Amino acid sequence: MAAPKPGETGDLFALARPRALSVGELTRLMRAQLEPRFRDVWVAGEIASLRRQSSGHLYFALKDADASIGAVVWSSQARRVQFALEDGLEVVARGHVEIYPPHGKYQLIVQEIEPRGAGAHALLLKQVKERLQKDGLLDPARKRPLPFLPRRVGVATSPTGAALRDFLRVLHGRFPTMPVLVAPCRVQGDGAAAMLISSVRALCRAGCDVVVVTRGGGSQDELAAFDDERLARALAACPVPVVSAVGHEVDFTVADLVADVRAATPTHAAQLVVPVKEDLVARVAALRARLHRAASEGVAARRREVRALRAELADPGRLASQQRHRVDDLLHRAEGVARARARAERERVGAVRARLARADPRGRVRALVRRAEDAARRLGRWEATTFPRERLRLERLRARLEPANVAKLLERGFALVLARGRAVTQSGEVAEGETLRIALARGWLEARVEGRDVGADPLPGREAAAGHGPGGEGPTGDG
Amino acid sequence: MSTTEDRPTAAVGTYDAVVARLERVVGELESGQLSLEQSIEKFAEGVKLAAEATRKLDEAERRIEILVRNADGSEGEVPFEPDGGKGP
Repeated sequence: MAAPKPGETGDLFALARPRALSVGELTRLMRAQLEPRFRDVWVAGEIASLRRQSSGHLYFALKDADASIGAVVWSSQARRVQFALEDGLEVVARGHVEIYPPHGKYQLIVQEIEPRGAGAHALLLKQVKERLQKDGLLDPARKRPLPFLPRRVGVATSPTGAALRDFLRVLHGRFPTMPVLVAPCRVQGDGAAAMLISSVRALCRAGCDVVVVTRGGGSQDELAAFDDERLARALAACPVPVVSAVGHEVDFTVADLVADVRAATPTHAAQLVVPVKEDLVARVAALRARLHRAASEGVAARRREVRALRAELADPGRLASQQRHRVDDLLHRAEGVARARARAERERVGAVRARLARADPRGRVRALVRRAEDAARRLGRWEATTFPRERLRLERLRARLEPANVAKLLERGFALVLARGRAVTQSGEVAEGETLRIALARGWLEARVEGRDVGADPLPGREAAAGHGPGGEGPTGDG
Repeated sequence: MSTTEDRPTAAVGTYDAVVARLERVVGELESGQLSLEQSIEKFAEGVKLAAEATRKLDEAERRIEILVRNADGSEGEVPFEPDGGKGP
């Protein structure tokens, strides 16, 4: 049968052929279908054919029993991978699927990758912690302090493990008589978490006032029970304080985070849970000693006080005797004073007498006599020579004084006439009516000029006054 | 071995409260400021407190026990030797 020519319909029963796609078109269609569906997937598988290019990109196949897919981790992401990838490692990878058109291959472009066991566990842990945090069970404020001296210590652990032996050894090293209740359980493997939970609850019921959950160190798998959420909640719900001592120094298990106190090891837990008995006993003994000392010192002090008071409160006989003593004493002192006084007086007198004796009046008298004689001699000499000479001088002076001796004149009847305080010698010196004072031999008179040169001269034989007459020159002015 | 000082302790434990009270009583007696009657009272109290503290320290008997489940399913306690190793 020939192919139909263009414009002809051809045989009805001949098959119609769809239009052919190009490879590019096909690929594009496939991408459009495929890639959106697998934009963010987690894939678990085993690594095979791992190779690292010089560019830093990692290429490997991720496979399981049924299939395999090519995977690539670009160098930028490869840097962030925290563990060593190797063939045979079970991993879980997160990424998206891409078709690479030039090679007709589909690939898983990996963003995150981690070992399978760890990855799942880490995620789970993260989610557990978040849930506990949300319920406030990780809040530091809800952590309770441990009792200073517990009455009974409960410990949930393996009865055969070293952890229990170490714990007990250190605990009883510190406090030999501390009662302990052991709640035996598995600390790893299947069912460990459930056993731990029931052990903790049993310890609380049995009246322990602190509960310790503990085990020795181990791998993360071995410690998995202590990351169990139900165990964490059971610890949080425990009515007494809980100590978590999982011998795993670096990381904290979930139980560590929820417990009231976290110890690094079982030994450390024993140190936290009990004090050292010896220290406590010593402290009480010291306090008791101080108590007794203080009390007995108090008593002794009071006894002394009483004794002293009683001593003062002496019996009457003693009192009288005391008074007698006093009187005697006073007398004695008085006598002493008197004697001392007398002695002092005697001394004074003696001293004066001594001075007196020392002064020796006879000597003085003799000295005086000598002085008198000496003075007389000098006087004699003076009398002999000086005295006459002086007398003569005196006579001569007196003689010169004679004319001035007015008293003699007055005796003879002469008078001294004074006007204005001056002696008057001429009638012209005074005016009529002027007051005169006249000194007589005895007493004096006050007179007034009645007239001048009037009548007869009472003293005849004298020369006439020059230039005078009634109303002649006279002193002017008042008298 | 660390001392009692570096442990987180409860605010008021019975033993601790007794000893703290005893410290206070001794302090008061030593101050010498009490009357005779008060001194006698305080002394008596101190003696009582010291005795109680000592009793608390001494009364504990060293015993280590382990929980067991009895045949009838009830819980019990029996003496335990760490090296004997009674398993669960």
